[in-house]
Amino acid sequence: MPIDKNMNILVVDDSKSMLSLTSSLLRQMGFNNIETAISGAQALEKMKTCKFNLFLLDWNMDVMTGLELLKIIREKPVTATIPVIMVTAESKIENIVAAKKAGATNYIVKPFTTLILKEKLAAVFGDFQ
Amino acid sequence: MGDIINSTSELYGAIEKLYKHFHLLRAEAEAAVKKFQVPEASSHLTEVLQASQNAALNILDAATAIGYIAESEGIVEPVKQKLEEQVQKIYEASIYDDLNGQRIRKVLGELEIIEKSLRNLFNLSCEQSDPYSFEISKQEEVQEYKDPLLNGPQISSEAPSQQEIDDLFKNM
Repeated sequence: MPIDKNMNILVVDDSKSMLSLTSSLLRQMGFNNIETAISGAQALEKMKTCKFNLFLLDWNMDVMTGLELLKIIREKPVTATIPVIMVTAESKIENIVAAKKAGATNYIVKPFTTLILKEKLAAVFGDFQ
Repeated sequence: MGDIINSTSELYGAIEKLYKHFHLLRAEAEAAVKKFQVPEASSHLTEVLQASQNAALNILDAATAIGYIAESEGIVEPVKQKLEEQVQKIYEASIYDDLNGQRIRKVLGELEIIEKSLRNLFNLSCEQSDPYSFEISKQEEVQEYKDPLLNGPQISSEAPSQQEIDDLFKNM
């Protein structure tokens, strides 16, 4: 089944350049509905008014880390099964284990290529056409 | 009695040595605090962070603009493809800003620890009238909690590849 390019995607990262970069890459792949949030708190605000089909989360953020945000996403019934891909520079085994235990769907380590992002999305949603 | 006097004398000598050594350390710490301008070094690094972010955003905007030009009419397919490939390379290379930013923030954190250690050493035998004395606030004395899962980017030669991470993730 081909991937739905109209799905709502939320990218969460405290780096403005990463938000711009990831959004640009997703747009280049053909996705039309991309929202960004610079913090966990802003992400939760956006989730109140929009039903997202995919979350791309950075980990290392002040106040609320990506792992904490992932746990909150998994606790809420409306988002409990929504795919969450961690996109982070954290690459120790403990991080991978913690992310998986918390319910991450997949894990991308920075720096990443467009191809890797595409592969991870295809692995979750289906093939690109 | 003679033994007690000798032991006391030896003890006194050892304490005197320690005292002199400690004063030497204190003088070195004082010199280091005065010479090693941690706040200035931190400011420079903070400026690097800001400048790097601004540059990365400008680069990304330019790449996006090139991408739109590539999509416009009049651009033949082979040229369009080449442009898109190069735009993609620019996007991927721009991740440097985020990773460098994380490494710099890590260094800033270490600088802060060094500064606190120097201050603590300096203040250990501080007199009230010492003009260079710093106050150690209760906050500085308390060890800050460090999340063991927040380490930032690893040294490249030690970091696992995406494939290794995929294998680990899949097999859990």
